[in-house]
Amino acid sequence: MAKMHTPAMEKIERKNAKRKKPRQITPSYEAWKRFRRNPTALVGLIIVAVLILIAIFAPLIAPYNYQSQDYAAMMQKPSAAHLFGTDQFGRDIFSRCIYGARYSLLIAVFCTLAALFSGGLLGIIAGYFGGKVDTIIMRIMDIFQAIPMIMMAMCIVAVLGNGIPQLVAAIMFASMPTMARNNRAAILRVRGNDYIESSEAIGCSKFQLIMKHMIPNAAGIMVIFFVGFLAVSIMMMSSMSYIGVGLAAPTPEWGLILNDGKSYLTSAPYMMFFPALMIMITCFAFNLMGDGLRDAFDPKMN
Amino acid sequence: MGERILDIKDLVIHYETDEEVVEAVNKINLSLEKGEILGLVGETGAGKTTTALGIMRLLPPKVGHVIQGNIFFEGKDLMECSEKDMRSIRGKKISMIFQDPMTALNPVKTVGDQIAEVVELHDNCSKAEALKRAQEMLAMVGIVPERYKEYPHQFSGGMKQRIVIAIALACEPDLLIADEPTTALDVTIQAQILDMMRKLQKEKGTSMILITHDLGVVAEMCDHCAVMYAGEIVEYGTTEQVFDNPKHPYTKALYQSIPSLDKEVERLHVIPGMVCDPSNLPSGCSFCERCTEKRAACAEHDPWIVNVEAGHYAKCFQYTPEWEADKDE
Amino acid sequence: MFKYIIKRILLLIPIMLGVSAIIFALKTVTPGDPARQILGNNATQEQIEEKREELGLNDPVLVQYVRYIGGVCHGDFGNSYRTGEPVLKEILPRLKTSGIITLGAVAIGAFLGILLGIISALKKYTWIDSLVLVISMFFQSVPEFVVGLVLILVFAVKLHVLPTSGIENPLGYIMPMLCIGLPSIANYTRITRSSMLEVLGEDYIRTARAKGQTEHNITYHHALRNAMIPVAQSVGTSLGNSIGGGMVVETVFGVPGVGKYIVDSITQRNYPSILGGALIIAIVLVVINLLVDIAFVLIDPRLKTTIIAGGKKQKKAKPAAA
Repeated sequence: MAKMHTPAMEKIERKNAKRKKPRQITPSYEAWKRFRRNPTALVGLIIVAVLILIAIFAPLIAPYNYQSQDYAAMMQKPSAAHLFGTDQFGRDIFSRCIYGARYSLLIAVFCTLAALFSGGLLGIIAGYFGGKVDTIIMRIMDIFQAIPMIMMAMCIVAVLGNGIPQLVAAIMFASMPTMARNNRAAILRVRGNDYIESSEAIGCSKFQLIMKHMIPNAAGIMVIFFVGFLAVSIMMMSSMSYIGVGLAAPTPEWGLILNDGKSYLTSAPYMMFFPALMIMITCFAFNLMGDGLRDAFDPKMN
Repeated sequence: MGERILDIKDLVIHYETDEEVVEAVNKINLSLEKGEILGLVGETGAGKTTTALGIMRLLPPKVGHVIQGNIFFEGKDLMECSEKDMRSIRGKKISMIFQDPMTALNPVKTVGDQIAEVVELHDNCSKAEALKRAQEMLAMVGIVPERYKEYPHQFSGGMKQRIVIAIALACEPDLLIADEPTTALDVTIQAQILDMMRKLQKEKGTSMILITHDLGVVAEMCDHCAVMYAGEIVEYGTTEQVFDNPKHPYTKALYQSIPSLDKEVERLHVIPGMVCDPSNLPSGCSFCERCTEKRAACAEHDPWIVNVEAGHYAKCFQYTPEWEADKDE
Repeated sequence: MFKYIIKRILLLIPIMLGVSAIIFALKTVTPGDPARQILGNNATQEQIEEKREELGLNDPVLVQYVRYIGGVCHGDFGNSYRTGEPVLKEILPRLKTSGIITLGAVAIGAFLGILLGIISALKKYTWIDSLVLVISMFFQSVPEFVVGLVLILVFAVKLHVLPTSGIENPLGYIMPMLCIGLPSIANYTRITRSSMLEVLGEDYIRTARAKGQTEHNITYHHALRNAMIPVAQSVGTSLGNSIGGGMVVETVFGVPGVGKYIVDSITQRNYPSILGGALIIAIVLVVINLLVDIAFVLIDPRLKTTIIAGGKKQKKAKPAAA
């Protein structure tokens, strides 16, 4: 056949020529390739990386101790000495925000891991075993879901008291039904695929089936939940801290810093501007990343 | 015979994505006379549906491109038409029946509305008149007209296909393209639908392109037959010529792969090899790798279309004078 | 249809029993004595004992639970520890306030979200699409209370056009609605976009094109209604989230709604009020989801047969790729 040469073909040929050697194409490599091509997702990834670096090197970056009070410099506007200004106790807000990255990110990761393990496990059990087990677990989750997430979390904090472990427990319990539901859906989706049936047919054990076939295939979706839930837990945590339930006072969590500045909204808005900005940037980055991951792992959805 | 209604000249259609270019249709020439039924046969992926969508100018946007060629319909080049002109042709002059009746109807609109829609668009009439016409059409395809108020999910597959046909015929088009109209249906329903289509075609004198991979359907329905392979028409002739005296090795192989009732055979004949990758076509004959009669030259040069007998064409070197000369050497 | 509605309403019973059991469980493990809380630190031991007897706190938990459920059946949700007033009487007027805010918020979120979703689906893979995505994602990343703070700063403090808090002035509703509505945009945008893209790739859209229909009519008459089905489904969940968001936003704006009532009750450990609030929210959610499901039947005729038959919602078979 006499080949037609079109500009599009030449472009692809040039691209193929540039490629050094064909890489082994695995699903996760494909996903990474799609992720890399998505500029918004990359921006999200970079911001998240920067935030993690800030959290790790907080003592090196922060110019002041986040707790030290300086009564000579109270309520100062942002300046060279105090980039984000100081609060009513003369604490440097910049330093508090920097340390806040440590606390907020760490708590968010703990919350998400806890939620994924508890809710995820329930979801996987319900989705895999199906039948009665599924019905019982999901009915119980329905009941939990009839209570709004944040109300549940606040009630639990009211029982357990303020503090980081209590907050993690509260967010974990509150998000369990959603997590269980999502993970169950992910497992059901994978379970419905023919290859699961065919591996059952060739005599895979249940354990092998879950570990080798279902988890790897559902992993993509679970990573998406993980990143998405990081943003949700940061938002929930800061909302709770802001209305005064959740964490105890000196912790430099962003929501708490906002709570400190609450009374000075009109006179010193900068006290709330910067921590709010940090929350927004962080959640935005996680959401951008999560969205990119969704597109990358699930190209059909776009 | 009569005048030509459709004339496809050197049509090339590619699907372009970031990763590859698929050469779906390669320089095909095809013509159709008024009132004629042309069968377009070939394996899945041979470019039959792409050709049809190309005629309708309904190729998937941004991906499907007509690279070159002209499609003359009643003397007018469809490639030159504006989108607005095309809209007035679609549904009115050329209409199409799609492969899968299960998904071809809008689930949230009543079937009456869906038939009336096309009438309303082209016949310049009121909604009430269009609905009346819709009921007539339903009666024509053998569905109780009173059911026009029902939704697609309330009909069976065969009935949905009848409704799709009713939509296609509602404006009495000059050319009807039926893309595997019976593939998704049960065998018994297939016969009913084909009978009905033939009856309607005879009544209205509509020209028709029938796309199928079922040779039996072609033998039964068509005047002419074109065999497609890897985006090319490898053989064209009247149905009798192509069926009784197949020339192209692919057509011959195709017949051998049909189970026969007369002969006792242990295994069906299978065409060896796979259809070549349309994103990476060979430079020689595209069927060469699977061909049992090939020679060295086949892999190097692309054969041209040879007129083997009156009105019968095949795209194979066998029928060129050079072939005989080559043999002598 | 009638049978279906009855069945759905009966489903409320286990949910209410479960919800009250959860809150009751939380109540029993909470440290501190409600009687002391009500009477204050100066109360004598006898007074406290008397109060405990009066509140029935000395009975076993199960007895308390059964007694409570019995009361709920008669419309008695108990009395608030703090005011001594019946909880129901306190909540009902607040329900109206919260209802207005939630509905307004969902209307704002759904309208903007669906609009943006349609735009980005029609302009897919262009810079407009990316811009819409980034904007909606930005709003999703802002906690409700931060939106509230920004709105207060701009509209109340700088421009003086809206009141900072309270709803004495009807204008006071605007900011809480925006606060809950804006963050929900992203959800609607995403669902509308992907559902619209999926629908636009369906065979029946090609059928409509083959009829010679204009792109405008294809988008708005053929695609939109089909694409709205999953969007409508998400309204139900979104309402639930809005009620949760309402708790924070009502507190930020000092709006006397159910949300603020519950937050106050939680901080005061006023369990009858928490219980009453949770139960009423659960009832509202179930009723709303039922209404949403009934509304589907109007959009999607396929559901009518399945719902009347009592079956589960049918999953549309995915057409094989052409």
